[in-house]
Amino acid sequence: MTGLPTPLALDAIRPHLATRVIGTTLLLHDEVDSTNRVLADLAHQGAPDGTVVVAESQTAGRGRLGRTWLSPRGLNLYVSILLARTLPPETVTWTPMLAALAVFRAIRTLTILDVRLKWPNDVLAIRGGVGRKLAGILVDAVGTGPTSGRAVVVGIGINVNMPLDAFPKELRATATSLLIETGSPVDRGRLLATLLGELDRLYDHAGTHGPDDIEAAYRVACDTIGKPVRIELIGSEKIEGTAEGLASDGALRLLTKNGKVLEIRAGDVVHLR
Amino acid sequence: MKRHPAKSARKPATAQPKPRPDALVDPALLQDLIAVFQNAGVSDLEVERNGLRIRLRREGAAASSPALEVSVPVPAAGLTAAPTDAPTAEPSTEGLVTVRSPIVGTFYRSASPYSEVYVEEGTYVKKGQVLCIVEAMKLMNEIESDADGRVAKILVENAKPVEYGEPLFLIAPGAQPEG
Repeated sequence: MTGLPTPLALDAIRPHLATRVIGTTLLLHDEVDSTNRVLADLAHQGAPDGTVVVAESQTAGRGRLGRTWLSPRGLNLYVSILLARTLPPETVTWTPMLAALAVFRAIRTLTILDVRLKWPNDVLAIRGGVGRKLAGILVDAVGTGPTSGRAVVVGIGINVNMPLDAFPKELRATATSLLIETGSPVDRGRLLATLLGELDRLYDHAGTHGPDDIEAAYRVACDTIGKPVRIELIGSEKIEGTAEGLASDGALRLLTKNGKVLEIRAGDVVHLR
Repeated sequence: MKRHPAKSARKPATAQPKPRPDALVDPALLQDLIAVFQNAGVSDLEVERNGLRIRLRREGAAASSPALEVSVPVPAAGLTAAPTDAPTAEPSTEGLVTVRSPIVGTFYRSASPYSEVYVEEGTYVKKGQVLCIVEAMKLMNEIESDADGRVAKILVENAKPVEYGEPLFLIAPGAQPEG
């Protein structure tokens, strides 16, 4: 009998939070529809920069294009962070990659897993040469008018202590959790505090120095660049080629078979081979 | 400040009306707008607020400083046009507010392929209401209306790429008719 999972508690998170901005306001909910939705509402009401919303469960956790994010109670991390400081346009499109880098670093701090990123912001655990999705990130930019800029809501879902049998059968080959990969449970409060710390540092750095260093760090963590890939666009259109590099806004430069270079800004990436 | 010759040549046509005391331009707001304009690398920026319309426009690619036009439309004249005397390839935007894409990305008319579109042509919208999403690198940008009014024209097809500053919607300002 291992007992019930330890619930998240602000008192257990705060002492580990060494951040300047992120998590200064930290809200913990038992259940919400979506942490991004809750935080977007708070942003419209003027919530401060760095506000964080965490939930034990989500009833309508979201992925890209209205896909759902599996959000069972008490097992994983569902967190949204408000970045309300106005970032320059050439930096703001890097936000999803910046968040992925923070997740990457947090997991590497707490585990010895081989973690890699798939463009733009999927976090994969590599085992036996195969990458399985550990975490997903969805970023919503909510307009607050041309003079006050745009606030960015970064939503992060990390599969932490979810056992394999809690995943639907169709996801078991492609998704995973820290528990499955490491064989032991991970303290969610500690993971959250570490994640927010990494994000705080990257956010501060990007705000003052622009995206160049983020790009350099991202390239090291990202497995996509240099690989043969297939891009699945909306509808059923697919393009194959080699991921050649990144454009200045973070778009993926794809060298197609007939020698053209395309810049991809939306689509699902499949690593071939 | 460099001045573009074309600007002074048509100065009389854009003579600035005397600001009304209740609609004076806040210098701080103006400063902010100019900063946003210069950093954004767009060629045309129009902001309407409490009946005051401010338009910043870059004349030619070489111009290093924005041309500035401030106009205060008479209230109740719902279709007061911002001064536009340069011929343009875009559809006639006389009296219409253009909503542009703030980033390079992919344009979506709905939150997901399975949900309803945010707006159709003819839909009455409120300022701040979401009109569409532009996605770049999983950054989903909700694009909001800059004005109360009717969606006069949707300029881009669903799931198509859009450029920085590309016009997405034309809004005809004005309240929804009763009934």
